[in-house]
Amino acid sequence: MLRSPIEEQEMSIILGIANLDNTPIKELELHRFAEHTKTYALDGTFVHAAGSIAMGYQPYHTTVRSQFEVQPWSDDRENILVFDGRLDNHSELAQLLSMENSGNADSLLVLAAFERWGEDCFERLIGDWSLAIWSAAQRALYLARDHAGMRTLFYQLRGRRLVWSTYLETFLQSGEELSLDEEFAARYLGGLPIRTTTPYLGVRAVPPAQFMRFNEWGVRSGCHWNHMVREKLVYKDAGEYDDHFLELLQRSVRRRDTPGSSILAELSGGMDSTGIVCVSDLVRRRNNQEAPLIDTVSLYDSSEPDWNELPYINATEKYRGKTGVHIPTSYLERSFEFLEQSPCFPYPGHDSNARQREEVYEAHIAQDEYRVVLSGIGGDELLGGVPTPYPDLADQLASLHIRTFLKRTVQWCLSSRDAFLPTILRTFRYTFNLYQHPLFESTMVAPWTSHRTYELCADLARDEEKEYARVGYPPSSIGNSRSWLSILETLPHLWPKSTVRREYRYPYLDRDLVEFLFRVPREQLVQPGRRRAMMRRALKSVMPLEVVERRRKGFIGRGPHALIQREQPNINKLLTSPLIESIGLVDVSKLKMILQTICSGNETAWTMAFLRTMAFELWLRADPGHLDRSRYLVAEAFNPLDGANKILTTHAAS
Amino acid sequence: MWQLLLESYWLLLCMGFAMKRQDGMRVLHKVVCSQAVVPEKSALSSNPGVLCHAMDLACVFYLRRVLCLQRSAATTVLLRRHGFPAQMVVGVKQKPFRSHAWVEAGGSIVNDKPYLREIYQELERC
Repeated sequence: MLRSPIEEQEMSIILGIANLDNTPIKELELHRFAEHTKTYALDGTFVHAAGSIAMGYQPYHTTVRSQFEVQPWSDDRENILVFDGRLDNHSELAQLLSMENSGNADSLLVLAAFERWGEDCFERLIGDWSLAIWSAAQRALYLARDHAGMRTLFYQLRGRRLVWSTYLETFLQSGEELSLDEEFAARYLGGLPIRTTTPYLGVRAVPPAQFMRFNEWGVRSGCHWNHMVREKLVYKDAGEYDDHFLELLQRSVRRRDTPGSSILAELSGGMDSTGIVCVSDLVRRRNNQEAPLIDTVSLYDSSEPDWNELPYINATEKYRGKTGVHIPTSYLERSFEFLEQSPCFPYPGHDSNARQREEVYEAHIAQDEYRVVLSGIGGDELLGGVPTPYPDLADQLASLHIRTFLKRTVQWCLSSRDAFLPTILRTFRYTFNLYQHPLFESTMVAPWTSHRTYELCADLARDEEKEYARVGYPPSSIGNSRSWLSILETLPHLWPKSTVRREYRYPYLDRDLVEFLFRVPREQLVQPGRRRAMMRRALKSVMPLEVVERRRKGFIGRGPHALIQREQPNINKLLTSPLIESIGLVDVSKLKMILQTICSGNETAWTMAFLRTMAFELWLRADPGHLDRSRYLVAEAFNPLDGANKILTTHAAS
Repeated sequence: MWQLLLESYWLLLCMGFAMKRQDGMRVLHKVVCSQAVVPEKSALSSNPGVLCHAMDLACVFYLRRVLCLQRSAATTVLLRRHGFPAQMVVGVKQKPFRSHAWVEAGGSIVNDKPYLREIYQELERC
């Protein structure tokens, strides 16, 4: 039982149980299971059981079309579906399936698509979604998520019993103690991507862009979307790229800024969020000049010397003619004092004051009952990211355009004041490193991890590098792939709050837009001395000039250091006999050395990783008994059916 | 332009050599301060931008990456030799600690981003 249950839940939940040995399940069993998330089911709980399958749906409507949903759906062939999400191409799908579009719920279209195309239907579903389908003909259960994992979906396979749910809390309420997943701990503390792991051994997330098929003979997974591309678009001139980008961005915003719910847009002052807000205004006012503009919320910290966003926020609001909510924030609001009554979160990452900060945030905005948040996450990485010359130069080198390669090298060197020969050598090295693997370096892992954790991190990083194809792909595509995977780690809905969980929508992660941006030649996105070149050209008439021509991106530099220095006494208390050391995860003496370095005012690259480690310690201490630390195990290879089949993975052809 | 390029390259070499000495910073400071502004503007360039571009090109083809102090010292001397009253400015910022050098002429930064004074606090100029 959580000490501080989530007070208000604003996302639909899908959940279910499947007995893969065909043992029957009663609806009552799933009702008992759904009790654990009933607190959040503001629009009711709907359950359907048939034979060895039981599925549940706890809706929270955020679109007009979601009002048509009657789930779980079951068709004449005894297929059953629960679907959490929104289809953006419902009209096209309905046409292909010869169905009426208006009045038909998205889940009905999905079930019909599965009946028509089987596993191949997942690649045809464009939108934000996660789903569970029982195929009566195959006697198999499918779990799947969209291309970017914009809806969460977790599962646990114990013996022949499969359980899945939108939220992790479901698995914590069963009364059974779960072991800490050492792979998750190693990744979290070592600074590696989390991927599909969760803190709880045996509970995993369905990978984005993949489906998983469970039946009595084993588990198989497959990719329905591949983010790596070989070809690049060749347009007549830069203007064509700009026009196409603007058109796709407008479409993406239109898909997400839908009637049926109250939407709040994050406005940080940066180009990404401002672009979304201004394009939303453009789209809303296109058909109706009097249409209300989207509401915005902005966080700011005036004490940060390099994150002074208020001038840009004010410029955008003046440009739009609408003021949003401004909420002051500061890293110094955090605390590492361990409180006996600390709330417990399913995930680490929260400090002692996290809940209070959420309550302050909600107090500023809650009166308008927002259900959806538009976020600009992903824009930076997809539209050029760090303005480094190497992806561009590597593409020229790999395609043997030597004259262009030399000319662009000089241009980049002039812009960055770098030397010609070293840049060429670094380009060769960058290109070579992209194609060889493993790419693991010891500096990738936090220095205070224990030897065992370090070795585990090294193995995980090397195994991961082997999974991704390189041969035949241009260097910039391999770089894009890495950026894409790092974006998927940062999505805020994956690290949910404890008070209110709104539906997050990410316009820059729209599938059509991403596929376009990955095909745009690098030299269009970033030019020497001009980051975000294409974005600036395309949006210069849509956004205020101050934001379009922002000289550089803001960043938080002072706050984390100041926080650690102030919290040194509390941190020292935590490090007196820390749980993270007693269960063999870190070497506390090295952790204390880093703390000393930071408190002395010296620079280190590990400040944020240090804060994360302390948050992990707080999380372990606040655990109300979900984790059985006495059975702390080294994570074995994932073995779904008592040592039977390995998971077979197939990849979609590019 | 070739003449300016060669002159810039030579100045970079001189500054690089000066910095390698044990009392390199003092020598560099002395070299820059001792270079007086030539009374008449050179026929080779009519504005500091051309001279700065020549210096940038020289940096591109230098043996290794040229850091801000070496580049700014050489640029200051180059500008003064061609009749422009330039000054080398060194600034710092505290958290995280960083220092940087740039060149100003006529009250404007001529060889770097124009907003550096918003980031760095001036420590000295010569």
